[in-house]
Amino acid sequence: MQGRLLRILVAAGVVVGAGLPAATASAAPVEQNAMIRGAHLSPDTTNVDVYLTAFSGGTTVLWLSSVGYGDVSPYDWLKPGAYAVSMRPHGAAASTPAALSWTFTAKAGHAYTAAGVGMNKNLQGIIIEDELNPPSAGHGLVRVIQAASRAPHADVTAQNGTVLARSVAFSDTTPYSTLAAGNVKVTAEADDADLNTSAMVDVKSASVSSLVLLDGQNGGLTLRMIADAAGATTRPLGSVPAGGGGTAPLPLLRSERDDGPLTWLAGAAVLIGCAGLIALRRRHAVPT
Amino acid sequence: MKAAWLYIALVGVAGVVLAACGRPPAHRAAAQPSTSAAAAQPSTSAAAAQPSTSAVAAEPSTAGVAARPGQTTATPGIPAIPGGPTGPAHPAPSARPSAGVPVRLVVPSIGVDTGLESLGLLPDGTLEAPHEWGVAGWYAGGVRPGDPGPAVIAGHVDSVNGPAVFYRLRDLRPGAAATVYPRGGPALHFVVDDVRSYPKTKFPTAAVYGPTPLPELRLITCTGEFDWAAHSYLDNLVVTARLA
Repeated sequence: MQGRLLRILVAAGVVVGAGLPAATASAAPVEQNAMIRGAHLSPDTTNVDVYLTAFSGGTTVLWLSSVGYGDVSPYDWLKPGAYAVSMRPHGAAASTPAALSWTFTAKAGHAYTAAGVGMNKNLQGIIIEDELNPPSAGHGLVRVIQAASRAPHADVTAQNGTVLARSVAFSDTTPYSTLAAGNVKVTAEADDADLNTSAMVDVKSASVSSLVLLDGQNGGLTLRMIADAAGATTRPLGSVPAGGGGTAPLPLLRSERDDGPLTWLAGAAVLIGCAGLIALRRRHAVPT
Repeated sequence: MKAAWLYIALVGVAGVVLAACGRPPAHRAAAQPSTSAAAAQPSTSAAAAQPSTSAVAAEPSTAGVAARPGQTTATPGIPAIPGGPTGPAHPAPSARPSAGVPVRLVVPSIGVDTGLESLGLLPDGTLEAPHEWGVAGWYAGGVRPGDPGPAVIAGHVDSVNGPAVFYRLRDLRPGAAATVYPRGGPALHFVVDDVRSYPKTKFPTAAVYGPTPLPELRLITCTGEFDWAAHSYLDNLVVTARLA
């Protein structure tokens, strides 16, 4: 899909954060970016173009082009703030009214999935917040995004018996569950229809993933695993040792980086004192 | 006597000038965040002009935006697939090939151009320090630069005699460029987002190594006071950069 999505990014400062504030090494928290991706989860809706409008500045950009059912785009950086997502039929001019629009606030350090869900006649825009907190070591977090209209309600179970979704309704998303890292068989089963599907999925340690349940190609169901976030599979303990002390001030000397007003006053006093001494010595020296 | 007073006056003026020269960066630093903060927020005037702004929240809303103020329902403007669902429009994307092993890091604004050694874990589970003062190291048990997730590169701030490879890391500012060269792959360009120090006793392990959706880079060195008894700095400096 990545090849198909014409990802036209993005006029100045809308998606790619620009003009981040300067910060000193120990300053208060600085602004970070948010992250967003788009998803088409409406089984009977044709391909769409997705636009993003920043309320600050009002810039509208074509964000994703020709997104079809089952597509989930990669993430893009997004400057924190309020946005509107809007969808048009693929190829419709940007000047035409949006067929569907919805708004959300992007918070720094958070990740979001903007999705069109439901059947075409009830098409809805939603924002799903994606998890970024790490699972415990040797585990991955997995949730289910239920986008299969052929299964009005579905159960999704991992091979080891972990229930990832119980009777989750079409268009709903479950909370994340913790699974041991490794290859695991996952089975989805419709509650109210004789349909099921299985997939082998690779749960990576320290990863966060979504299993998307979709209407399949030939009347059945299908499961797709998509990565939400990845981290170091083994996290080192503690801090990072990275200095020999060769530039550290000796214990009795003050840090050169302390340039508060008192330091300046003290410095000025020393300078004036020295100058005075020099002058006095010169005066005494003159007669001889 | 006159000469003495002249010297005192001159030196005093020089001191004031020096002090004045030292101040402006602080003012600039203070002015910048407020400007950016304003830009990050939806502007008040825009909010007033948008009828749907009051609904801005995580809550989905079908209220209109600029193009259609007051729109409350989805128009059936996107055609349905004739005959109903036909399955996924596109095949599932194949996994992206992993970036190559990083071999070189260049940070022009602070004069860093270093090879990269692979770092592992010590038996006690901590990250091993780079073996050479002048060469940074990449945590090979973690994420490769360019892959989704946080790739970690550590370098010494100083040796036992003087500055080392990451001595000027503290001078990095948001917006600065950092380029990683993987073996056999194109250069990966990162942009600095954040420069922050943490006490080593409160090292933010989850934030440094925890999952991220997009490729990020962490450049880490030591900073703060040096504990002469333990021969170790008390703080770590962590630079966060994102793939441009």
